Amino acid sequence: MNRSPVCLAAVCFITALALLAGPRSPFAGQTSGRPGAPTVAGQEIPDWMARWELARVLSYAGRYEESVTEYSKLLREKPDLPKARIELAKVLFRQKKGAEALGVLEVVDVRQLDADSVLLMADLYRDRRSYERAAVLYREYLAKRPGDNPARLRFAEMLSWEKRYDESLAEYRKILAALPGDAQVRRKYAMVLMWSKRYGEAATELRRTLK
Amino acid sequence: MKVLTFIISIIILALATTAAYRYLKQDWLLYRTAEELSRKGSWQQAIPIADTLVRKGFRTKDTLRLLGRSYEGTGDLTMAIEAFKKLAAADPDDAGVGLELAGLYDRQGDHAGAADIYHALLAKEPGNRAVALRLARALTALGRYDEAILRYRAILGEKP
Repeated sequence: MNRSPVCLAAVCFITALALLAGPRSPFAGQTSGRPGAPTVAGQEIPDWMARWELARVLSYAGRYEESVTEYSKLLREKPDLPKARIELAKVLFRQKKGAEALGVLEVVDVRQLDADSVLLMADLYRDRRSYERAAVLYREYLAKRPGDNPARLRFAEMLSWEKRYDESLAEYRKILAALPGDAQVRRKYAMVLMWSKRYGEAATELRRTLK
Repeated sequence: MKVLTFIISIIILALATTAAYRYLKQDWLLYRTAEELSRKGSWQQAIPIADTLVRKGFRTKDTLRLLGRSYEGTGDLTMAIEAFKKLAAADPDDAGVGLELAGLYDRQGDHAGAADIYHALLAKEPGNRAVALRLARALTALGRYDEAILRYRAILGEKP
């Protein structure tokens, strides 16, 4: 009968001691970090990732041949890396290997291409005189970047070579709306007007370039 | 009567314990408050508390880490770096601290500062691929491509 208060008192005393000892901090004794923080122990770097970065750095250094070799090794190991394929195509393009670059890009789903790659592919098709394919890609690119006048000019020129004068003139007008003082573009515009037998308008445009 | 006395004693003891805890462990309570604020993302509120505790020398390493991460949370990388530099000085053998400090340098754009730390870490642990990769990235960011390429080749176990 007398024991229970003594026991309870002992329990309370122990509890008080435990409380005074203080709660343990989650950081106590921790050497490095929160979840996701870099840890020196975490060395799980897959080879393909290091190779990809190596391929990029080689291209930055202008060592294109080696870069292509590394990209090829990477894509053999990881064929489903569209971004790496696009980068490889850009390196090949810098090496002036347009046909090979196009071959690499053609494997990639167009929806996975970024705007720069779409433009690159459009330019490559244009160079190979695949104008229909190029036109589709130029339109797609210009919908995303309507202010890229040099790209629009290449598109306008290509349309004129195909004798799609009305479409070409429409593109020229958009460029001239943005760059009304560009005499070179206006002269090219005038040439397309002449080819479409709109001599009066062509003369007017040419006169404007002489002012 | 005995039971009543006992219950009253227990209540008094509980209250006294709580009061004693709050009185004797004020810094602990402040630390836990700052820690909780930091965890909730209320970094601006956590910083003055952690800073006070650092000045008082309370649990310096843990508190410096808390202070550094709170500054990092607010985006004040300069102050975060200062806190981590003090932490690194307090515990030079903690490679995790060095790596975190280097990461802050990288984020601040001071890749040279980061590269120095990565070099030091690799000197202690030459086979650490994670650190080697970070060094290669820092060298790339510095435009030191040839050195970076050598590092990448070493990571891949290839001859330069």
